[in-house]
Amino acid sequence: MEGTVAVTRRLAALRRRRNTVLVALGLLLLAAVVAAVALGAVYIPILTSARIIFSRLPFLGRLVDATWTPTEETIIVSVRLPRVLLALLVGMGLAVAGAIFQGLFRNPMADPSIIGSSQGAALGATIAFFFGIRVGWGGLTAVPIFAFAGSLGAVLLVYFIARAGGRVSVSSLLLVGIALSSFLASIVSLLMVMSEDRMHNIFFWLMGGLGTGNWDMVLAVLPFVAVGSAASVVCGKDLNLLLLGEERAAQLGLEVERFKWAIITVASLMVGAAVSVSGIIGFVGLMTPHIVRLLTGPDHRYLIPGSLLGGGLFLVLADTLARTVIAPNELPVGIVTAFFGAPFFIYLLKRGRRSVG
Amino acid sequence: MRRKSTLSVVLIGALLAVVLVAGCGSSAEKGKEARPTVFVDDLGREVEIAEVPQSIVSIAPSCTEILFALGLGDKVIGVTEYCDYPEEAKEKPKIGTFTTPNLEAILSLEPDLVLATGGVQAEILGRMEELGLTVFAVNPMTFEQTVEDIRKIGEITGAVEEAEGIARDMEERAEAVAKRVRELEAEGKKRPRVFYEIYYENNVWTAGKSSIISDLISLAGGENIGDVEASDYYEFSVERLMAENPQVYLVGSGSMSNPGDVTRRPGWDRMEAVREGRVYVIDEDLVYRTGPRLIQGLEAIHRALFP
Repeated sequence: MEGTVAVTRRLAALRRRRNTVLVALGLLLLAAVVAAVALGAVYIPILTSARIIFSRLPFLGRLVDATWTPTEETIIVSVRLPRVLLALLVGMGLAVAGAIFQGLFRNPMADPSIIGSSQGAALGATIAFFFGIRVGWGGLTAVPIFAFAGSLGAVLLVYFIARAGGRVSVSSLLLVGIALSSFLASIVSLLMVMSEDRMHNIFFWLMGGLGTGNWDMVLAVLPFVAVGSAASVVCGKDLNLLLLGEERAAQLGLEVERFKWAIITVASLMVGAAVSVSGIIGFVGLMTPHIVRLLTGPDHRYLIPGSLLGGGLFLVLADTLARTVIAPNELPVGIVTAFFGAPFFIYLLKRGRRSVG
Repeated sequence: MRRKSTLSVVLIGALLAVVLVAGCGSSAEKGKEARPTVFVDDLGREVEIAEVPQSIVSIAPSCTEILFALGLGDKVIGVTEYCDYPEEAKEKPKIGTFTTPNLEAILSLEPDLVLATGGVQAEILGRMEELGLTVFAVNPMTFEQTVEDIRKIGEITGAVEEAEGIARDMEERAEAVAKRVRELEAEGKKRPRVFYEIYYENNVWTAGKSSIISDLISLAGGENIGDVEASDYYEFSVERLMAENPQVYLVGSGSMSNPGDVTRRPGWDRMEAVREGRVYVIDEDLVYRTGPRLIQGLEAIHRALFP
């Protein structure tokens, strides 16, 4: 009896903590976005930045006088703001996709790179560089479009290869994903060696970064991340069922195969879109869901919104550091995500073990 | 009488003024006519530069060297971290590195013109133009194109005479090298077979046919072993290098090797260049930076080939 009361109390405490975590993440994210827009290689007072952005709002914009220089406006509106929003969207997309893959495969090491989508994107981009393809679509150049196609193609290929007797087992999906990733990576290396003159471009793209972020990219990624995240949040309950095991989930009324299909498509669309505009930024998709899980517990109804907020927060902060620490020079954002993410992750792991048990 | 003379002085003065103004006007107009407003850069982009730029950001060390050589140092308002020549260039505000120039930093300087290059930078030129910057890219592949690009930058920046002076000096010195090469060939000397080492790591990276280094070696009177590949920079196997047996071995200063290191590599003493003591270090800034100092690179290679 006493035991039951204690458990109920602990559950109530956990529920409260989950909500606190989500609210805290949301507030932190808001603060991070404001800080990110205020900080950069060039000093622009935070109030000026705020007023420039405010002036761009419909109707309300007329309320502020333009006392800033056109250059300041260009920097804020055309360089910094789209880059911050791109970091936000890419971080969100990668983290939510990571949370989905980890839940789906019941494997804490699963992340977008493990089922081939990152390497597929890399190959797509490398092909675009290698053949010097310059066609564009909307504001996007050939590279992101090819990256997106490569990412999606690779995931579908992995899915179909792993399918046996109308079923896709998680372990075969992982194995096929890893094998195909290695294969694709070797083609990327081959193309790089064969095209010395474009090697630099490929190399820098593969390193990842948001330096050329513009509004067209933001608008291109936005629908994927928005729709994908919304779908993922809705799927939280079903992902929880899947945690019990596929057979158990099927007994409880989940159409397992169809659900897996749908959720893999959603996740790889998000990864494809994110990778296509940013290159390969590792770590966000792997670590963010882990960190959030340590804070909220494994319930996907909290984990997915938490990863959404946490991924955006993480990459916005990392990119802000990347472009300010040694300004006007830049660090590759992947270095920053690993440098700060890993120790924080280890700290949480140590602390989380003690309190959650 | 007195009034008359005053009047005539005034008239003559007015006449002089008219002539002067007209003269100035016509010469100014002539200057404008002589300078086109649309320039085609090395990437085939048409760039409109109506006025002579008064503030220039250079995002390539070669461009920085050209601008300073043209006497336009005062107009240079931003350079990259790598722009270390001449000394004064180091004092200029930095806008990031050669591979990742910082857009915010460039915009904040409000330059009339951004001088860039092709290759790695080609991808960001469009983005810079989108942001309202005027961008001109110089991407010479040969010595001759480098000289032409110096003239072109001179024309764009209104430093036509300075550019012509530098270009002519480069051409004359290159012609002196060419003359010596012709004389040596007339004496029946064969072109030495040359290998250029960019760096050494398992295999040796070298310069192929489409590189500036290949052009310099051939102008200097050598035969570049790397020419067997049409590309610019690539990995050359050590086995193949031994089989090719170069007579002269050039080591780029960025290879972090000196002649002693090369001769100490096990097995390399079988190579003719090593046995004959014909391994030379070439200052890389003189051969990769396609600016006014490229002629010094050509002369350095020539001296190494024909000491």
